[in-house]
Amino acid sequence: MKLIRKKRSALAREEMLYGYLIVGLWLFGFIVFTAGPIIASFIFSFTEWDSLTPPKFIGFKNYIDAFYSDELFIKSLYNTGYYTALVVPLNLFLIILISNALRHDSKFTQALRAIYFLPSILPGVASTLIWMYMFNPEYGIVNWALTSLGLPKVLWLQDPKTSKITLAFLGLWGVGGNLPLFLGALKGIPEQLYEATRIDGGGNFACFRYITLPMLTPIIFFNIVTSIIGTFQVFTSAYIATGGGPENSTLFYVLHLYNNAFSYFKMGYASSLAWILFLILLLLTVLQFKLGQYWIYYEVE
Amino acid sequence: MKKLIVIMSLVLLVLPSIAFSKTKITFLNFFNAPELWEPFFKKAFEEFEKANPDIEVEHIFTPYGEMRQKLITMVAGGTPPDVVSVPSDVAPEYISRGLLLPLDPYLKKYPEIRNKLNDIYPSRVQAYKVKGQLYAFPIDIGPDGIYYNKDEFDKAGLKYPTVDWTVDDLLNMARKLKAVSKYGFTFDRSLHRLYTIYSALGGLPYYDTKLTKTQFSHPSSIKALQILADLCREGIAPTAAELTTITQQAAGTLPFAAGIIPMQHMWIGAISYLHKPGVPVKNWDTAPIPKGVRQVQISSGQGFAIVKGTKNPEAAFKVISWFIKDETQIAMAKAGVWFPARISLGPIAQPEDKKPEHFKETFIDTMVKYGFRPYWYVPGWAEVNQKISSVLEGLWNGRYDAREAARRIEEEVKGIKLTPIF
Repeated sequence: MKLIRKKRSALAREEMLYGYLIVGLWLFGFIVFTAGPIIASFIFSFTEWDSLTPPKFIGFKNYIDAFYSDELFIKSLYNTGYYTALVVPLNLFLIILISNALRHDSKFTQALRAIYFLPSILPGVASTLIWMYMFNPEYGIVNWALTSLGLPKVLWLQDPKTSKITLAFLGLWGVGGNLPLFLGALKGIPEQLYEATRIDGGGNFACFRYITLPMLTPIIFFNIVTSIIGTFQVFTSAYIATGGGPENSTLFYVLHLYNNAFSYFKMGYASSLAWILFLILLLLTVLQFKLGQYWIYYEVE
Repeated sequence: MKKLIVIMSLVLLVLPSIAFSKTKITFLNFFNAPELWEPFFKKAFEEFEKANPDIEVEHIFTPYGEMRQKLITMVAGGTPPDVVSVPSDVAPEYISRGLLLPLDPYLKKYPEIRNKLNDIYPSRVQAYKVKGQLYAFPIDIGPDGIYYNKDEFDKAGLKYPTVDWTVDDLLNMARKLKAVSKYGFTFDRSLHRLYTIYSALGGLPYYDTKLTKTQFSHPSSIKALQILADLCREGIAPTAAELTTITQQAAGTLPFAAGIIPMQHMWIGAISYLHKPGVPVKNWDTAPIPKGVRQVQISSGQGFAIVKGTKNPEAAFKVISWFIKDETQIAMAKAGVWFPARISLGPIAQPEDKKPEHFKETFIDTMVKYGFRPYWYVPGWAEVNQKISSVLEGLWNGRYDAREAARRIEEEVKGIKLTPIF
């Protein structure tokens, strides 16, 4: 039987054209502002390029140098991993705690939801500057609180031992950003499940442990994936507060990339660092998806 | 006939716009104190445009810390500025990458501007000269000095520093000032400015002349670094961590100006901070970097250069020339924006209230006698600078001694190649 290709009617063709026109604008923007630079950075990652003179092809040298010649590459990866390992679990713990506490509607909880959400929409630079003053070892409010309780002063951002932890605090400042997501997920948990648990003699902890947490696992998974991607790209707080110091203790990966691109005139090398970061995040995300099958509960199962 | 009328009309419409079209020049420079600089530049460009009605200047002002990114982005994006201000420590990077046009053809054309080079501090000219070609015209100077609080000196019963004072005098005074103040002294921690004090204490140039290795491991360099580290260890100078805290505490001014530190090694630009209204420290003066093993006055400042790729190099040079002429340099000095690179105009830059009293001895005379352009400011230096600075931060924080710092520096920079270009 011969397959006859149906000819589109004039109306269908017109609709198709309008569809392409509407999508075309976005497509144009995507190609010019996203796909184009992505492809360009991939090509530049195989070159020695200072942004000012024509690039020179050098093969995989940038990638090899990152692992074998650049000590700050390893240091920055370590710093970023440390920061991620601190912020992601703490962020998750706090958002579950806060959203669970604020799940029931009342005027009081509505006001608190707004208060917790606000820091996530404040400009990063302004927040960082405020926190810098709060963590000032001599005059900051944090050390004032510590000394009022008879505890010793901490150098916070000025000490390599505490600088990352301090920036992690800054990172947790915006924990309320995911509040709408978690509140929505909590509201989606059927009330009957809690009723059934109470009928069976379960208390609040049992409800949380056997109902709330499992039902939240999809959103927890989403939070973990996006948090890891976000924390691996930490930049603003380190750039403003410490510049990577003291003694490179807060030299995060993207800051190191930025220094190479704009301070050392090594845009080609910086491009390779960007692609290495992409590969790391891709691997981590794939790993999380693979591990997710063992702990994520989907209601349809 | 109709066609002819249409063509004639079009020509008549277009012709005036061609005849009266101005040459547009984009001028990119940085600011540190926008409240001072913006009005001065605005007025300077207005006066330039009045004198040159065929040229229009678009001024792009950017914070100092973002200057490099801005320039790289503009050049890589195909929209380079026509004129750019070039700090002397990054000039070799820009010159070696072919970013700047040599000014020599224009200097030949305008001998009255070329002749002004004879009145510029030689070390400032050297900063922008590569293989005999000049790539930027020095506009200002940025030497160092020691600022001291006379009231604190009186409290400590100390005589004020003299023009011929020595490093031993400085160290003794710093120790005695600690008795009346939390700290006695602090020195500039940037490698750029540290060099003057470090040299006076006996430290060798950061690199050998062939730029093959650092010289921090030399005994005299280790000794110089250890003296400075001991000042931090003894609490006479703040550690790196304490200095960051104090700088925040000074809230927009300098620790010396806020009265936190009685004696501070700073650059000439600190004078404008000390003249701001409401500054606590009123009774102060400056002294030259004290005499020691080797006298050096760091040649720093900026020059104005024409960017390669400009469509209007001639007009760009005219803009640069405007800032070199006497009236503009004098206005610039009197406004407290910059200190002229012209030797003959140096003393004019002293503020009207004659503070600091020893302005000429501290900044002008030392530039003439000891002005030095670091030969290690070459491509690759930015990365080396970052690595050495982070090691020295640990030294100032007392985490290791100078010998260990020197060893770490050698370890950190061994893979980075510096390319001599001078």
